[in-house]
Amino acid sequence: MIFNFLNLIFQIQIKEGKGPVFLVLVLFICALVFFLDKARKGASFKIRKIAGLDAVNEAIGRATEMGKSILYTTGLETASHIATIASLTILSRVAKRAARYGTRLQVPSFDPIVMTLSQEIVRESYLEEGMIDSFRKDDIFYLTQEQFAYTAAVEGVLIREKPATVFLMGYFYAESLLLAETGNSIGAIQIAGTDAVTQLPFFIVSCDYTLIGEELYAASAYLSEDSSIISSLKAQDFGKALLWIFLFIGSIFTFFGSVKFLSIIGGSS
Amino acid sequence: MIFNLIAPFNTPEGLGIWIAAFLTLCIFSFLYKDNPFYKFAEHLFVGVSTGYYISIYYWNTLKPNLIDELRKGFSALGEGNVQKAFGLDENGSIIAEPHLRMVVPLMLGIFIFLIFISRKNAWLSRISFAWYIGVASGIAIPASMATRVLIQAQGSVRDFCIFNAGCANAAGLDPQTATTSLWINSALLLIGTLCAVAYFFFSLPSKGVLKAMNKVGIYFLMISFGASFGYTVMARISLLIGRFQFLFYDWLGINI
Repeated sequence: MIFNFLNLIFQIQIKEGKGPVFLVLVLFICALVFFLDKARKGASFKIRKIAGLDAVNEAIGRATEMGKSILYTTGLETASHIATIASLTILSRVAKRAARYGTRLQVPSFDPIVMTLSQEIVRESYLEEGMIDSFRKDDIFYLTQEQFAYTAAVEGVLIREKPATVFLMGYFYAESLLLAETGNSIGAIQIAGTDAVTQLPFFIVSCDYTLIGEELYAASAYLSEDSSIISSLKAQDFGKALLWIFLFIGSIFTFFGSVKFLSIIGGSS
Repeated sequence: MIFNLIAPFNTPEGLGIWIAAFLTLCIFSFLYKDNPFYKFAEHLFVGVSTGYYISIYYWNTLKPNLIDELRKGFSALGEGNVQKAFGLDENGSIIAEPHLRMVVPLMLGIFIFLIFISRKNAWLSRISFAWYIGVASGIAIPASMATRVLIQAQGSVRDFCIFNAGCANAAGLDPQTATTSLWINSALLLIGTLCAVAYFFFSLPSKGVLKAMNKVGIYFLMISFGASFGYTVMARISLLIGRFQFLFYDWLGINI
């Protein structure tokens, strides 16, 4: 019955020209369930070191030692953007550490829904750490949805509050260098992460650590140190391995003129 | 250098130029240090933009999508046409105009506001957030998978067809354009893509072949970032030139 149902959905997806996307997503979900099951049975997964994420604890510790605040921005996109969702999950980890050390955490928001989500996430983190009395709702505040007005306001906060640590995680546009340069000018340790390819160079030159694309998505699992969450990283790697094999074998096939392979991948005109 | 007249102060257009020039200089003053002029421009910018967006959201989203729909729904209900009130035709099929069906998103919106009104009932906001994130992810993930992964991969593989006349014709490529430089370019692109993808394998230890591939991958990434950096900086400089042109030409009347 399940197979028939999947087959029906697959036929609909093929009719709409979305067959390959559906197939890849099904394979990815299967991999996710497989690795999650392995993690639940006690398997432990090792992941390679990601310097930018190893520095998160160090950066929070620095703010604590200096008695200064942490500034965290979730970027300039709405909650429907993948980078924003990844950023919110990292915010949860950062907020837990900040709550544990009693360090002030400020989150200027670009989008009202993201602000509300951030407030709830930070509140929940403080609650889990038993530090709900230290939670300051007004530190997670909305500014504006105008790109450069938001930038001007965050720069103002950076200059006046002089946070010791700045997190720039999410999707950014032309304001990336303005924010990172201002953070750099006040001597803050900066950790940036984005999947905006055009903004990555600016973060790389002006921040202490930069999470490049996929590293941002992996951050939540990496910081959690929980096998069941890390299993999602294994599934991601499985997806990347499939892509890698497809590129390698596909290039050989097409190089030797396999028209059949070309038609299978829908590349023929 | 030609000196024209400085922008007049006593016309609406001239006054606008003076205000824009003053605010531009206020923002530029940040290059020296934080000061009251910058603070003034910053707060004005934030306040005006917030007001502007509230107005935009009201007129473009809330009014046409919610208020007008509810009004139409209630008026249909008043006429005794229950099916029309809930956005259904005579056969009971859903029509484009939702009318009273908009009560559902209205409720989801109200749930979010409960966070600010009633801590006791704030848990209801989670329904709204779960709905929002779930729907958004459902739309974003397949779209990203298609545009940012599959179409790119398909394009990379398809480009190799150009070196074989039959395959090139099937792919709609011109085999005449297959030169040695294109061959080198395609090979570099493939090596760069494979190595860059290998760099993002997190669960495999970076040893042996994978370590070498990671290194090559990061070189490719840094070269592309360098090129992107130079390109974007030039675009930003043109924005700065545009602002200086405004100050010198429109405001001070100096035509360089």
